[in-house]
Amino acid sequence: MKHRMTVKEKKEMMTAFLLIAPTIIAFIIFLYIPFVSALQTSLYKYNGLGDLTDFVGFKNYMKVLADPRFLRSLKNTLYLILISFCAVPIGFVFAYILYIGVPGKKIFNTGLFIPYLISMVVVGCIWRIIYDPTIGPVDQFLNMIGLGKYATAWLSRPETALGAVSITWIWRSAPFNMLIMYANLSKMPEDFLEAAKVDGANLWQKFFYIIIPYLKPTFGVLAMLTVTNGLRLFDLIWVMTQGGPGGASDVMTSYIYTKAFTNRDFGAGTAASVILMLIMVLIMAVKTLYQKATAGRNKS
Amino acid sequence: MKKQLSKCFLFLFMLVAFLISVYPLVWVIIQSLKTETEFLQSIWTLPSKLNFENYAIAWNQAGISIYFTNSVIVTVVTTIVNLVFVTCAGYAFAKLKFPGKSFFYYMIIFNLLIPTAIILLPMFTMINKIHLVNTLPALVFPYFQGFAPLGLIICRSYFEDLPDELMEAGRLDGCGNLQVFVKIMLPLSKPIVATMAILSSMQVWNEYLWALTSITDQAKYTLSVGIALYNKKTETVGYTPVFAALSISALVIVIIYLLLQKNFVKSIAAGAVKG
Repeated sequence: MKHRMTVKEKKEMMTAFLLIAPTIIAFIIFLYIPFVSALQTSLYKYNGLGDLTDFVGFKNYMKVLADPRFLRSLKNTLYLILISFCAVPIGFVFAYILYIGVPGKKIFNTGLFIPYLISMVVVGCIWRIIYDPTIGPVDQFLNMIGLGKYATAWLSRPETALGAVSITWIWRSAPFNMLIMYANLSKMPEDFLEAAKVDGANLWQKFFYIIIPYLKPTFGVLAMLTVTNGLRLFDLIWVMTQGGPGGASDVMTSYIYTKAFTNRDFGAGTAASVILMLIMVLIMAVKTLYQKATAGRNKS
Repeated sequence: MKKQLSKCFLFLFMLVAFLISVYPLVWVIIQSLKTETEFLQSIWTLPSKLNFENYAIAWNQAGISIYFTNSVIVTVVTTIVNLVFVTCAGYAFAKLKFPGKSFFYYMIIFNLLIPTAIILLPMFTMINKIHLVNTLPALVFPYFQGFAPLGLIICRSYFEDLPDELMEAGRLDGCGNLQVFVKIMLPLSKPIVATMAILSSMQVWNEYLWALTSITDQAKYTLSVGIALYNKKTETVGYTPVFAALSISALVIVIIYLLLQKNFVKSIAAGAVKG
């Protein structure tokens, strides 16, 4: 038998729908309609003008997966994510030093956070000049200390472009990791450390048996953010190298953008972006399964 | 003695880290105060006298003033829309019962998995069809869609933590559902609204990809797009005006941060829950 709603429940429902309606409508128009149309576009050969007429099935996907430039962008994205994991321990070291206290702590705390405040576009612009072979401080410094033979056009050589961008990426993301870990360290209950003191634990023991286990969930969150932010990274690459030279620093997002808006091959560009989404869904699924598995283990 | 030494070592370590963090921006600001000839002579010296000409060039001739104004308008309007929509929805998802609740909730959260790149073209085509290209709504609603999942997560959990008894008390006083929300819950939600305002402003102010794709009229560029474009013109306009433009953009955020430091830190930490 169907449950009949009381007047009160009906009223509550109406209020709820009224409150969520603007959000839901905006999502249908500005997310789901374009999204479905993108899925459709990925099955057509399409140059961005007129109607979709040239149905090609999964050919765009085949083409993208066989494109060496796509595979390189995938490899570069992976490289960038792996290398940006460095930002987590770097952030942790800063956070931990701030936590145990150092003279000038306040100024350090504020100053170390500045890279994260500047927008990715401005960070990219600044570092493009920093890496400049003629007026850039990096090469001028190398020349000054007699290492001029290592000075080079960092962003316009295929061997160095991606590495140079990833250093900037670490510079920009370490402060975020620092902030989150410092916030969590400051919330750590006093009695945690008191207990350790009573047990006569030394500094290293405290570090490995209390601080690290306490921050384990935070490390998990930050690792996850490192992966998803890495997959989404576009601004920095686009401003610094546009994926160049010759695709040497292409990441997935810049590959998609170039494919769609420079080569005007929207079918392939969209197919590549669907592949990117599937990767994200896969990562989320693995993460959720892993969390469920560990939660189950902790319970038993 | 040993303790002193280790403190000293930690201090030096942090000092180096500090210099690496702030030097790029400080360097850009110093260069922006020099003349172009002075800069080309040496990139390490301080300006012989403070010279604000580059700021005038960037602000007036390069159109940074226009981009800046555009960005302020887009940020303010989007943030208002974000706050109103997300607070309403967050309350409904936290405290009200209605059919399809988790379906609608996940419909919004799923956006975290959709890369912006996917919908760039279809969204642009659609906005073109309904003649919204280069208008404010063409930025505001896509930005809302980008902010909503994170906003909703933190807003819903905030409302969930408010005791149900407050609602019951309001109902006993004869308030309808909407009145309970407006009169009782909203006044209590100031801290979360402030957090969302900071997160939303930062997100909109910094956004680049959609603005780059969708704005075709240079007079409508946001600061991100305008700055990225100007940065490529160093060969024709010289370096120092570009440095001035970059300094303006960076200093605005740094100053707001210094004023609101505590709130900023709290908000960004709250925003990290989405992981």
